[in-house]
Amino acid sequence: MASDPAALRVTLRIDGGFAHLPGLARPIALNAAQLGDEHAAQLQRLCDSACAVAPTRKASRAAAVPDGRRYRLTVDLGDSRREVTATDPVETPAIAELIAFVEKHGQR
Amino acid sequence: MCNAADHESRPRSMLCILPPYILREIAKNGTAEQRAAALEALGVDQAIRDQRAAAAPASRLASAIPPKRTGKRAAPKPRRTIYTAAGSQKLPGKIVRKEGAAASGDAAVDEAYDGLGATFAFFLEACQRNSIDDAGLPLDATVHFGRKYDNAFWNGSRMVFGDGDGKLFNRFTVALDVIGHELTHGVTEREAALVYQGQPGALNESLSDVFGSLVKQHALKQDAEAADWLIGAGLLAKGVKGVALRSMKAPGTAYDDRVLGRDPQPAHMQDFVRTTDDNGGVHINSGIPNRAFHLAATAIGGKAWEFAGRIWYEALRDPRLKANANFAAFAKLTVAVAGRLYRPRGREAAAVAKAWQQVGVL
Repeated sequence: MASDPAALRVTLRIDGGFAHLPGLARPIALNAAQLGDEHAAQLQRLCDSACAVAPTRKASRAAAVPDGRRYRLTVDLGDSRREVTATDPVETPAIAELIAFVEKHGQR
Repeated sequence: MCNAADHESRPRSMLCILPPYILREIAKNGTAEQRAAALEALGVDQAIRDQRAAAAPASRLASAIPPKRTGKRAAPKPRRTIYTAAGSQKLPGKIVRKEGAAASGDAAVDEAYDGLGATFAFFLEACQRNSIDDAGLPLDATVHFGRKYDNAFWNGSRMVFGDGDGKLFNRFTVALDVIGHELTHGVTEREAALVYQGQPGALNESLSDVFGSLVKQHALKQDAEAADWLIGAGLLAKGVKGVALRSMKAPGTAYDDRVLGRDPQPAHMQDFVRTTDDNGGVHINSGIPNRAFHLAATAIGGKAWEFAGRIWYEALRDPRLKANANFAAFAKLTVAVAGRLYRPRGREAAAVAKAWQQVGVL
């Protein structure tokens, strides 16, 4: 990935789950430009790690388990777009950490 | 632990699990409902199984009935193991409480343990089913899954519960019907194996809500009229405008909150929601069959698990219920099962048929 943290934008969509409620289905957006330098750099690292381990789109279409949630992360940087998807339980630490970071710092 | 059953004409019950826990926090959100429950673990009387076999000649039941035995035998007992993921998403996590061990002092651990016990007791006493697979399958659950994780799910072999974020949701073990809901996914998986998409998926979800609610009603010894018919009462954190995640009695009215939005569940087929989200709206359109069950149970009256619950359970187990069944297929089956279990065109079958008509399915 390119290395301009300020241009990084991440969108997280959470779908399904026992508590599938309309308000929670709204996407969560996070712009690195809105973060301090330290958090922006952390977001960049997390995105790089998650994109590096993300399964192929075909492989990531695994059926959700009953009441499991689906996660779709869209990582935009300039003209480049990467998509990372996962379902519960998110067993890949790099993806779980990125989801947690976006949930914590992003806005619906 | 409960350990008693004999072979008298009726199962003997023992007061065996007194969950001190579950619903202390349910007064949050202004519902003010306090729950206290004493659970009985009953032995399964062979006579009940024999009656049931006679009443259900052509079903999966046959393979589930153990050989007739003579003399005394121990009642089935749960075999529970509770794990903690300690904030990670690694399953199964570390064992924190095994069957028979004393309370841990960790509310989520003890609620999961007691909730699994209540669910096991419900399926044993009300459905004569010995655990998820009707063969005594051990019950495993993992709590403290993830960080501020707002969900609970069934992964095919265990129940998994998050702690909630504390702002929108309390911990997911707080509501007994949620625990019953997740375990019922395991039952459905082993019976009709309804696909988790569209109408069969919404039916799958509805069955988990139906039996989740019945687990709670059974624990509280409530009549259909007295039950709250809510799914996840106590789960919404203080300050959230709502009483639960879903209402079986009045789908679409459980919450209306600035952050969470408004309960989108339809109560009638004319409002069926077509969407690609949520596996085709499995948690949304489940409101329709949920309401049908409530209508049938309250029309028949008494304890909901004794008649309506039994009809739904036997329909779930009926080999005619296909994995891709839609609402109408399940509805027709419940009417047929009601006639077979009780009387063709009797009051039970009529109540079930009318309930499905009232929600626009039949």
